Amino acid sequence: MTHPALIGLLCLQGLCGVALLVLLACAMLKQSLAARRRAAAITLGPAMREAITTYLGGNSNLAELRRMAAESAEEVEESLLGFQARLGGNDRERLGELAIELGFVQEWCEAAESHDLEKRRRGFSRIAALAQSEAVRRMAGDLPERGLKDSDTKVRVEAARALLESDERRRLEQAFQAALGFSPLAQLEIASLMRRHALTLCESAIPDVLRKGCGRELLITLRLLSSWECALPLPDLGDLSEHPDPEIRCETMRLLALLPPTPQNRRALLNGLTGSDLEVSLAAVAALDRLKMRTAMPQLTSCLRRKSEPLARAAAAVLATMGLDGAKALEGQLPNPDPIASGAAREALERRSSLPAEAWA
Amino acid sequence: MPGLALTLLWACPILCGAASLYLLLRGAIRAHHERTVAAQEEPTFLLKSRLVPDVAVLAMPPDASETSFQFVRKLAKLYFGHVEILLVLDGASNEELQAWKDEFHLLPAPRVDTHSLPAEPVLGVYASAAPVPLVVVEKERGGEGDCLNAGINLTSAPVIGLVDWNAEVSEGTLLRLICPLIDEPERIQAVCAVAPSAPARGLAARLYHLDFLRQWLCRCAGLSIWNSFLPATGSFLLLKRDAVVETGGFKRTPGCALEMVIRLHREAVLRGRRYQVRLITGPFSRPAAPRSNREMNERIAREQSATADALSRHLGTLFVFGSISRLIPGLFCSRLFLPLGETMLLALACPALLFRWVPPVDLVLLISTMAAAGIVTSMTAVLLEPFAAGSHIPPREMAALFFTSIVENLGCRQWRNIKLIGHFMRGFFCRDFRGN
Repeated sequence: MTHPALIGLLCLQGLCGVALLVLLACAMLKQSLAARRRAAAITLGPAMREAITTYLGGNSNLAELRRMAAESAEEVEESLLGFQARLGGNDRERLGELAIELGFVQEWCEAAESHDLEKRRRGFSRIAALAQSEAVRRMAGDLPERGLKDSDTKVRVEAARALLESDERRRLEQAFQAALGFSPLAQLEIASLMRRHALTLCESAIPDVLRKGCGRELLITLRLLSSWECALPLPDLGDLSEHPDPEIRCETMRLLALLPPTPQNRRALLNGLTGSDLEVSLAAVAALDRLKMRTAMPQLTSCLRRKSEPLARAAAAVLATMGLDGAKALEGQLPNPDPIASGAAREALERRSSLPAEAWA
Repeated sequence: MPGLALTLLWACPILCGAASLYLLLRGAIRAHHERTVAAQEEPTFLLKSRLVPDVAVLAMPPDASETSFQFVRKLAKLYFGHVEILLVLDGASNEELQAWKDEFHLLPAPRVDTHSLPAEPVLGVYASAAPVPLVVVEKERGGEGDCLNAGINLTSAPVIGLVDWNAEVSEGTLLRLICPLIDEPERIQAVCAVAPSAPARGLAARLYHLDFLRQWLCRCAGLSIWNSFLPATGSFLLLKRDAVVETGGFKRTPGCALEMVIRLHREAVLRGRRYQVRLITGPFSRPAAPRSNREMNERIAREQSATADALSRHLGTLFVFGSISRLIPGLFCSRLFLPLGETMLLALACPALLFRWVPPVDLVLLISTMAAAGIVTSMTAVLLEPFAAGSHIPPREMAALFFTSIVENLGCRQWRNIKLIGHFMRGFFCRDFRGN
């Protein structure tokens, strides 16, 4: 009874084997074709780069590049995009013009309006990559602005990237507003591009959010600002240092290190330092480490006695960098009966003595 | 009657073969999807941002040989903003420590031991004077898990990287792996990169490749569909420091990373958290091809024993629902029941022939179908590799792997099954091997 069933099963497996053999032949063919294509791209690569370099050098004869683009458009496109990161100023402008001449920008604009998500993403990402060129921006028109309303996150991020290449305040503010709704990773990507527009954005867009924003929006803005790590001409953040949300207070402390040390900002830092939340105090200590604010020495010394080891260590480390006065404050804590305070002070003093004098002086 | 029972028993491995074929296909589709969804370009913008968490990559070198030095040099080249390589020397001799000091110009460095996790005493901490972010920790012998705990105690980085000593790691791995942790910090518990090994010449390397490929497609990519992913050999794993400390740190077991991931799954399921252990399928970290048959056997033995040990510690989890309900039975099935069942059925062939339970022709056909099921599974895995992992396999190598499937299933796999059972039992029951 089992005999015919087994023969049937074996035949089925044999058939599968034959089908797999055919598939192997197809896969091998595909792999060898891909290998050939890669090899051809490698061979064609130097010629393409040379042709692009010649064009960028001032030779406007496009015959060779047009021929290459007709042969392998994708490779030429990749080469063009590969160039844009290495160029600046007029050369980048010329590269944009070349992309227009070869018909790529037109294609990207059409792709950006496609219903196919992959095409749309590709189109926007290419436009964003060459949006530093005025000619490309002009050709793309209001596509990036419309892209900000797309249902797909990647498209929105690329659209914001394209907008951030412009110097128009309206467009920059649009991109900033859109970035507040992005995922954390996309925000990091956009943050690095927004940094160079910090001054423009600090005129009205950022102060508006800091004044009127609430909850998540405010938190994201504060994080974005501190990720820029540059001095920011912003108004005082005194109000935010008293915000009920400890996360916002924490981010405010971090940001205070980048703002002008106005009396209000200094007071906000000291409030954070002496507040009840340990995370906020730690952030304030980190900001003080950056600002080297000697007037905060008594508050820093009191942090050693707050029964928190990380806070005591961080405060002691900052005091150790504040010259002889800081060292004296630490020495004053050595006989403290609290083992955390005395331990942190001893550790900081030991580390201070192991470093060369110019490191802490 | 015994003949019919035996035939039905024999149908089990064939059905399991069909099930693994299904999982293989699902896994390939999943891996392909993961690979294409991930960003095409390297996220280099993360290099400068202050908001990217620091990462400490922990590693335990087996010795102070040139191979170990090379591996550490490779790790030091990892492309990332704030990374430190914490090398923990487990009971190293004076000569070994001196060799490390000479190679990387190590100098004593002050470090604060947080004592968050139990670990053997640290004897010294050294930092490299060379421009590499390397910190070497000398400590008393305590095993792999103990070393990892000591490393965690000495770092303040919120993200811990664990790398398999047999892994080939690409420089951009950390940049890719950190992305899910930034994007969904609350949900993602761990991120792991692992891909099939690069094709290599020699029967041992090909047999290993086939075995690993099936495991990668089924256990890694396949199980990740149900959020039941577990790391395999050659993985690069990123874990959140807080999550590791919360679960009590690493156990002193041979496969402590695997055990930790099972524990993370269990804890999250028991606490009713929305969580994910994420698999990254691009070619960022993969096991190096074994150079000899001996090396391959050693690796398989180590992995099998480690899996058995981890399973022995989580037997109670068999009755927990959620993603873990597939994970533990799946591991038992693939690492013990299937090899055991197949071996027992082959062993039953002799009495079946002797006592005429089954006609000889049927017996030959049954054994043939079992072998053919294995061949079809392996061949399918070979054909799915370029689609799933995006590997560029030279056509000749692909054909060689394809036909090695026949050799593998006509004796090699059956012999390997016997060894797998032995290693499993050793890992599951042997206390000396498991440590405490």
